[in-house]
Amino acid sequence: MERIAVYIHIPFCLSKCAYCDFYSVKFEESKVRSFYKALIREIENLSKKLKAKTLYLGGGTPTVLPTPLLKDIIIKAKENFQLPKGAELCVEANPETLDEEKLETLVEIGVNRLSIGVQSFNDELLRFLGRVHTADRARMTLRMLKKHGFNDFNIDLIFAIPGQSLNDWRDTLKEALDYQPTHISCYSLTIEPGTMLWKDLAKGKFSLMDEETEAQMFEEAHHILTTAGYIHYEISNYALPGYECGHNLCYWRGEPYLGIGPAAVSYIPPVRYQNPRLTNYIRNKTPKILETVDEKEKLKERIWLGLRFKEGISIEGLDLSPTLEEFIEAGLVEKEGDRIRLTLKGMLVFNTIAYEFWKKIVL
Amino acid sequence: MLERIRNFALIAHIDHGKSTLADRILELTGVIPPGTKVEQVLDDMELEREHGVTIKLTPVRINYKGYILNLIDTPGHVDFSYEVSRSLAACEGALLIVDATQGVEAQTVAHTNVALNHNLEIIPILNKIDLPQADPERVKNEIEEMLAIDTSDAILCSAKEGWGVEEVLEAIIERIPPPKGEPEAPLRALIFDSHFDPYLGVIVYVRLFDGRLRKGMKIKMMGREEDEIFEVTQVGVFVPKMKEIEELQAGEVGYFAAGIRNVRSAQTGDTVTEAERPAKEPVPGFRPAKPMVFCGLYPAEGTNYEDLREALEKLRLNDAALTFQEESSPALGIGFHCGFLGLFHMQIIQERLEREFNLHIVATAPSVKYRVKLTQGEVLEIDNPAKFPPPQMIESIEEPFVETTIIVPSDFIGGIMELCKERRGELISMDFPTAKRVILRYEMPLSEIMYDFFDQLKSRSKGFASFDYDFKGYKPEDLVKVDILLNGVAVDALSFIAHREKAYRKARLLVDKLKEEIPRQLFEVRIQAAIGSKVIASQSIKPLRKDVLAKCYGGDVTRKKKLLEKQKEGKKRLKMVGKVEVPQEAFLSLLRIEKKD
Repeated sequence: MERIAVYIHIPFCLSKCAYCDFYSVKFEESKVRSFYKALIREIENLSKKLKAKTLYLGGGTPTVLPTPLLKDIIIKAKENFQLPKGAELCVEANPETLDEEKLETLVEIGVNRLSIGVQSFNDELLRFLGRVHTADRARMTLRMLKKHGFNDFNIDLIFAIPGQSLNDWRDTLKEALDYQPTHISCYSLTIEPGTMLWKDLAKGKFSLMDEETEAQMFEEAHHILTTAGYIHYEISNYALPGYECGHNLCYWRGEPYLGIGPAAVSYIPPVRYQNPRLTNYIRNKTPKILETVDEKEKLKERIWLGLRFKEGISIEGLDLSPTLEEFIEAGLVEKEGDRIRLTLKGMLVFNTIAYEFWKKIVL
Repeated sequence: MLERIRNFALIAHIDHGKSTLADRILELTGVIPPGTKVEQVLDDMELEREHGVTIKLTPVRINYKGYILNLIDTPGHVDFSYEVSRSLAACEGALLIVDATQGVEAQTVAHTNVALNHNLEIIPILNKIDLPQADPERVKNEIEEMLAIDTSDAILCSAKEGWGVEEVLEAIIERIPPPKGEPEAPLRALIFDSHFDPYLGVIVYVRLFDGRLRKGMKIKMMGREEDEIFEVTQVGVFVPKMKEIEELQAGEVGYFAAGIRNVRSAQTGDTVTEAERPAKEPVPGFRPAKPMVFCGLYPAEGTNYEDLREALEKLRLNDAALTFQEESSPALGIGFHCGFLGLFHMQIIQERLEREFNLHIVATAPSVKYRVKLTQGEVLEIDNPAKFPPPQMIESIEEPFVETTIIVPSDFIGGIMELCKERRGELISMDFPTAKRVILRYEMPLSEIMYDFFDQLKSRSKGFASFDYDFKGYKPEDLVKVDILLNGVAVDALSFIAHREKAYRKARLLVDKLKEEIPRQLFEVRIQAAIGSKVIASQSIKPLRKDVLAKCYGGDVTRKKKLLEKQKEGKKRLKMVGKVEVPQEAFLSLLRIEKKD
């Protein structure tokens, strides 16, 4: 049986961050119980047919769950999906919700990778983002990981926050490096429809950062992190060699994935579908099909997702002329054998380039 | 028989109430039931009603007290003065309608002159006398002073209220002479309009001067190099709908069909005669309408070229003044170079293409027809700036000039004269027919009144100025062609011709405007304006710096993929100029800066 990347969505948070458009609800004991039952039911059902190659708990905030519950979910998922020994088992954590006891438990049950939502080491910016924790709390959590000898972890950072200076960003990057994470994700702040920031922006409460500074921050991250030995392996992701996030690699390589929990998305080719949200999930309602990925969409995704990626895409059998040559000429794309990938300059205009290729091939 | 016929036209400045009076006449004579809700029955196109002017002529036969009255409406807009001329050629008299609250305006003068040239009996009618601002005595004085028409028999009327309409009808019968003509002589019928009917072919509108026209008769057009003979399949009159009758006789107005498929086989101004018994001389016609303003019409997104061609062909069937021929532009693809009577005519055609035919079109900036003398002596007529030869091959350029007549309250004379000077106008005369009104006559290049001259006149006179123009002839001017280049590639559709002194300013405005219109691209875009190889203005658009989706994980794929497609949807409407993507709106920049200028 082919193994599959398994994602478990824990849709609870202490509070919603101002920029977040992932599905989550406020953490309430009363909802957690029925959520837990439904989740275990889904794990048991699906694991009859599928086995995991990686296991990733995201959210929401998985670590907001009481330790015994979280422990139970992970153990049941591991066992039912027969996660191979040594396979990636990653949990996302908010600094506010990770304490010594929880950390020790996670290690004990085999969690071998953590992803810490630090976002910034500047309290003012953290407040703007609506984070529940302070920079000091994040520092404490990271020191705690080091103290326990927990080395394989990711730090999530956000840049292009209104009010952030290029120097602020440099300082945050450098401080992140001090904790020697194996992985750093650097996301450009995106104001998603429906979020708190979206509403504030519409009301004129702040204005967006200028494009040039934003681009410089992107480039600065690249320079600082690659100089420190990290590989810029996806537009927003950096890792020490061999420490790429195995689970996420599946997405960018167009491989299947299984999403468990409320609002989680699965891709079992050719179908991509999404579970219902919490209330209906608990009622055991059926998922909704998002799309059937036909050959054309598959090709589009291969180009689009592949271009995000250091590996790039093979252009064998694709006629991208003369667009490709123009992009190469302009220093946006580089070609090696029959593979192409974006340059740093190209990554900054990823959307446009991807679309131009789509237009060339399928639209 | 002839004694009982009256052929008359209505002439008026725009909005002076011509169509309302026509409606009242039709109501009073029972042609349409009183209180017909459709205002202005004669304007049967939606666009006409919206623009408030008559574009197509509609002849209506009215039976009144044993007389046959043939009413021929005329368009009120300057662009269509030619059509006024042809409808007047079918008449013996004209009702000159003047708004008693406004007075004599430019088209009043222009149309009256045409009517006088045709030796028509003119009945002055002062309309809108129900309004408190009406000043019939002042307006009568103006008519006498400005038009040299006796107003002692002028009729006071309010078409809106129905006052004085009966007097108008009596005056038509008593004062307009009956037509002359010989029913037994060989047929002579003047074509003054036509429309196309899918079943009957071209419906030809005629005024018979001599002879008779019957079903089954073999006819031909006079003065054609090759005779095309048609057999008449139907003869009729408009009441106002088409109604078949036995025959039309000398002096009458009506229509016939003869299975004519091509509108060019029976052109306005032609004289129809009997094939077997032709007349000796045609009816003195009128010069055919010549297009004065030209522009390219190209299919835009979702419209194909063949549909556009078909639509233009259909429009041309009813519009002798519209011309078009295929052209291809590197920037816009294959489309049509079209000729119009004026800017208003152009706008009407564009709107009809979009509304009636549901087409999306890109129109290039309008141009006039230039005469370009080459260094080797040859003279070319060029109505498309893209087709101009390079400057070193040009000896001289002549452009069309018009004589404009502007009538304006004397308070506004300063602003108006300034405007005319800006537009390279030369004052020919200035007359004060009455204490408060001035008539200015200017000679000016047609190209200078093409864009927003009329709007400017209105805004500088608080809406009081009226204007008309007449083609004068060609004169040499110091003109240059300005090319627009995007990253070194010339955009033919944006080339323009300008007076050398104005070229620099216009070029600067245009490159600035283009900088706003063209979205940032992956490459830097240089916009240059050049005369020959000399760059006179330039701008650059910095390349797109950051356009990147930050997060893309399993739950995002479907949604973000669709989002990208939606965001870039507009890109499909862009035209490629070299490697630069140009939105269709950018091709209208030339028009927009003219408006701003």
